[in-house]
Amino acid sequence: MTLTKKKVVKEAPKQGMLQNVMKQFDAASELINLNPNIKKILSVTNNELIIHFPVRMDNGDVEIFKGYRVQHNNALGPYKGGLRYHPTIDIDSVKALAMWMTWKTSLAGLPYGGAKGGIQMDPTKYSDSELERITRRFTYALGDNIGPEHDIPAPDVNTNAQTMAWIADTYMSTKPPAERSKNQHVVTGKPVGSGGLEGRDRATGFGVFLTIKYWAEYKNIDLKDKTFIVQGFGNVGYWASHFLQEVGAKLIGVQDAFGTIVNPNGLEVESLFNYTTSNKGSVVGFPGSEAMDKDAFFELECDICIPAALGNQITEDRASKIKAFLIAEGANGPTTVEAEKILQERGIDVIPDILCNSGGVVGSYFEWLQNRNGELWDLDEIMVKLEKRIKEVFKKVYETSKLKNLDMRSTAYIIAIERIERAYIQRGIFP
Amino acid sequence: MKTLENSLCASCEHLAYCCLTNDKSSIWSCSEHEVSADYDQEFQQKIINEANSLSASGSKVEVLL
Repeated sequence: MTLTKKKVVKEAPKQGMLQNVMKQFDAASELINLNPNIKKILSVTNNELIIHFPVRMDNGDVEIFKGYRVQHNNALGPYKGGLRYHPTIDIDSVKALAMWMTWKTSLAGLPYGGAKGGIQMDPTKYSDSELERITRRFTYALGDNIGPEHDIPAPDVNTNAQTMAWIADTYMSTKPPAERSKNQHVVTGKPVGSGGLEGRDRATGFGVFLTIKYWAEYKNIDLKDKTFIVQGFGNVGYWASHFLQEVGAKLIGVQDAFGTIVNPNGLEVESLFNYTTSNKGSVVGFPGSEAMDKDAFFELECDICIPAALGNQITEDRASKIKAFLIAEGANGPTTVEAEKILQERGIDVIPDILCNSGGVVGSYFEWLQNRNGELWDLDEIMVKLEKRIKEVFKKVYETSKLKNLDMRSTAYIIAIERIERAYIQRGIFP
Repeated sequence: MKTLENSLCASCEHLAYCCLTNDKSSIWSCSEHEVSADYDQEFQQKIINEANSLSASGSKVEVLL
């Protein structure tokens, strides 16, 4: 294999993740004239832990790992946020993600703050038993810096239900025998047999669908026969498509890592999902579909566009060519700031990520509550609760945006930050 | 600034052919991310070095394999 430089284009230096999140926060604080003292508090993280810990490898050698846990704010409740294992993780990216979690949990009306963490490592380099020892040793090193009523990690990039089960087991093992069971909710995203939530896999996609449904209800639009396209056919893209098809909407285009397919007459969601499972996860070659140019995907003639894969997809250039009347952000940060201005000018509504994909964190909250109360909820019960919560949050954002004559993203940030501001004003600052 | 700084693409099995984005330098969240089973660290490092040397000259780099 050789490296080919396809194109070299001059561009402005890219802003880091932390600067982007700070920019969003500054813009929202200005809009609500946020109390300057509270702005000072929210501009920084409460705690930043960097932990170096040793783990014995399968070959007998000892490796030192660097782990992070950043706790941004807990004015509304215990810190909440994922743990990711990745070689490029650093303190700034974790700080940005922790801050973003604070806004997300606040907007969803949850009794949580925001946190994030992880280990700087490439998980592909380690055996399962090494990964288990790394996870357990990191949990031990974190000690009581996490806890079911203090800081509750969850799965993120390269971590999963198994990772959470190891963390829960290690954390519980460090407690006296009589206290072990009551600490099960130290993490969420556990396997269903170990305190995990039924239907957690569909929570985010279901939330995406619900926000589209409520938006359509406010706009008096019938989703039946409306066409939609989805970028990313993972958990979020698939489940959002599944529920949209159930109400009669028609999936006409999908883009995943392997390619882009289209069928103006509709792509049957379940058949496509089954096809991907037997086609190494790829949608390419799905019977009845045609392959299309990847760069023209967002220009497809459709009613709803769901970017459900990754950030910075709806750029200035694409925003001016989009045909959809609604963009539902299943992914985090898919629309650039410049693109959003164009979409607004063109009258295209955007359901912002912080609202659109909040079904996941609400699902985590339900798992935590279930464990905390010693209950077991069935799938139907969970879906009803999720629907109720997303409906309340959507209603608040949509109606406030109309009242204040603002877009839904700015409104969502305002609601999230005001909720925290209120808590500080009510409680005051100690001493 | 490192071109692949904070990017999940560095360890993704779809890196070589992924058509979701031309900018693999700053992806911090991706539903399609899958850890590469035969992740070749040496080769990835080569890409990173190549990209960094070009980005140091103020250029945007798209790496095709």
